[in-house]
Amino acid sequence: MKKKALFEVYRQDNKDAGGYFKEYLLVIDDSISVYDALWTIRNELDASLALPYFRCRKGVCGSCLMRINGVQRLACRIPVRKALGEDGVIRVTPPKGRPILKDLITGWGDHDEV
Amino acid sequence: MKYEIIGDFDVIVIGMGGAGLRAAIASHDAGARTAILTMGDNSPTQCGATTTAEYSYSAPLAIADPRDNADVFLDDISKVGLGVNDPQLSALLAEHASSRLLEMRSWGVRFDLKQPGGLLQQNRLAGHSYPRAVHFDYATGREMARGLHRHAVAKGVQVLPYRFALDLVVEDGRSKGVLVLNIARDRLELFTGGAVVLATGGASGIWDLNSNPPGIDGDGMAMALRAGVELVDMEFQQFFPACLVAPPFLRGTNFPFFSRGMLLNSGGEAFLKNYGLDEGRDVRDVLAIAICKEIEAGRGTPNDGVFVDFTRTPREVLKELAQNSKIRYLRDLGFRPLEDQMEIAPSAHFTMGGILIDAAAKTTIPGLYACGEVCGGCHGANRLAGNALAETQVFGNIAGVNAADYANCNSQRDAEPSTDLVATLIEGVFDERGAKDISKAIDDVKRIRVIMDKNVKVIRDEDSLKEAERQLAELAEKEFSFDKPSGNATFDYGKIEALKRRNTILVAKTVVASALCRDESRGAHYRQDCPRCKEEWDYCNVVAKVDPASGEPATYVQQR
Ligand SMILES: Cc1cc2nc3c(=O)[nH]c(=O)nc-3n(C[C@H](O)[C@H](O)[C@H](O)COP(=O)(O)OP(=O)(O)OC[C@H]3O[C@@H](n4cnc5c(N)ncnc54)[C@H](O)[C@@H]3O)c2cc1C
Ligand code: FES
Repeated sequence: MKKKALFEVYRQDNKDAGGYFKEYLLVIDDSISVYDALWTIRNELDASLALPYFRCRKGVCGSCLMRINGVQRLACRIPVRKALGEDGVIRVTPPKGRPILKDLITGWGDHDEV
Repeated sequence: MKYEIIGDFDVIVIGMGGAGLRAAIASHDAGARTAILTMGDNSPTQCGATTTAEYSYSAPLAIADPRDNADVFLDDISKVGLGVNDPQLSALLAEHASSRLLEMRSWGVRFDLKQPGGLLQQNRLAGHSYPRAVHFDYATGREMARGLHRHAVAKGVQVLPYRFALDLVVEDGRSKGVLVLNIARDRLELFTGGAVVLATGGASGIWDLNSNPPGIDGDGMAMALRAGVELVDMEFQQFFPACLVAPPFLRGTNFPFFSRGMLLNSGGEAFLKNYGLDEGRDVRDVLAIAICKEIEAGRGTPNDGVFVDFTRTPREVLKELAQNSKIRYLRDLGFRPLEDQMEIAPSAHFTMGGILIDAAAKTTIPGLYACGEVCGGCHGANRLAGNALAETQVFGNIAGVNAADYANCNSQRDAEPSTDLVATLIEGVFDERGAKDISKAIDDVKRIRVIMDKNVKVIRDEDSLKEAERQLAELAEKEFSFDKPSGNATFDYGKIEALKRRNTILVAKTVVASALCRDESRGAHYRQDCPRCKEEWDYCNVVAKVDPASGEPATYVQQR
């Protein structure tokens, strides 16, 4: 079913910058995953949004780990339908405890070697 | 144009899948300062197709059946390879798959056991005479990536993440390093070193419907071609018989459970028997061809697939399937994959062809080695399940040892390439004018994938291949230029996709040229205009090379 969803997506320009949220209003098929919805934003609305480039298509790799409305989960494993709060908002932030390199791309601490 | 020179390493491995990790471990153990460059991050979560590999690593350990051994394994490989395999490479795979597996175990890579503390569990898969598939929790590749990555990093292999390899630097007839775009910093880097190992994986991503993770688009093959290296068997692309075609956001997800159910056409008929097949228990090439024939005959689903039906599957089997991690994943997304009929079709999965190597994993260029799916030769016309993961370990080890040996024997001092050559390579990609063609280039890449799907899929013929050739030539005429790296466009994977345009075109053209050259059908290469094996093609390989004058791939036939 097509549904309206307001995505509040965490943005941060680089490792040392401060963070902020950017809003994107989408009318989308609510059966797609939150990860796919983020890619739709990236491909159709805002090419500057940095997302992990990888996906495994089976919910096992962990590349899409994020906090969705505060809960840490695999964004490819949860449909928009289930993630949508009653307010119609999906708030996406990087996973806890990982250094933020840009937007939703996070590193692994000492070994990022960029 | 500015670039950073990095000369701290003896061996540079490009790609961090199973092959690259294994090569780096071997190279490090042989005393070479070793670095891995990879497109993704420094973790096992983004190790190419390896992270996504599901079920099996083939090893003739003879645990489940004492009659198994390397010779029987080699026979099985050769049987489906149909005389296309390089017998030396296949023999190495058969011979060393088991010892490489046991070595991984000793490094902490886990595999399913018959019972806690017991022997390894081995299952029998299509085309294998005996049970050889060793596995872990339906995520065997991810477990290999985890264990190998940990082992490599603990040893002191340096992983350099967010590096996109643009071109190999070859001068005076030998390898002098690699030109790289640092994605995290948006800057150019020139890695100079004694030896380079290409481990960038296959080319399945040049087809629209494919089962691979992003980024597996034949970059290594394209770089090798541009450097004058030969590719072999590029007409042989494996299509996994059953990947989801709907809904759109799950397109390409492979659905191996089809062999536990039945494949039905749009009329509800179990059609495989009409092709003399046994409900999905056959090897992949035969199955893919039968399914595609059924779809082309107009008996497919609206999304150009067929249905998978489990209504006749025994209850115990369904119970077991329900535990499977991918079935659970689909359930999380709101599907009922065992109750509702899912739509599947064959999709690009594994590239049998690739870089021509010898038994030491050497290419024709001194100092340049290759291993894993980027190589051709060891599988031939079709690949058996589980043999790709085994290939990564067997040939990763061989490449790593020999690359380190080369680097140890050849001083790095005179390895630095001329600035003219580097400038030429950079100008081949970036432009001082700073034009921005990113979105147009990405559109082209998508168009190429569709051209390949339409014309160069499971079933091809001269007309469709010629049509692909024409469309690719037309598309290639446009000139593209990209902003030179300025430090601002960090983590711009869109730009990376655009930069892949020239690789995708070159590899697609090479596949088409090779498929046109082989005017017969054999294994995964099915030409409906010449649907049978021809004797004159026995023990023949199509070799492709870029003609330096035209810059286009040209093919010739080599007989063993
Ligand atoms: C869904 C799926 C399931 C599979 N299941 C099995 C199975 O059960 N058993 C089996 O034997 N095989 C299986 N395979 C095949 C097997 O996984 C692969 O053939 C194998 O993992 C390839 O390993 P590799 O190291 O050669 O390449 P990959 O693992 O693909 O690694 C390639 C690496 O190169 C990097 N790279 C690519 N281009 C560049 C560039 N330009 N610059 C820098 N880095 C680059 C990538 O980021 C990646 O790190 C499966 C494949 C898929 C897609
Ligand atoms: S993309 Fe692999 S777990 Fe989500």
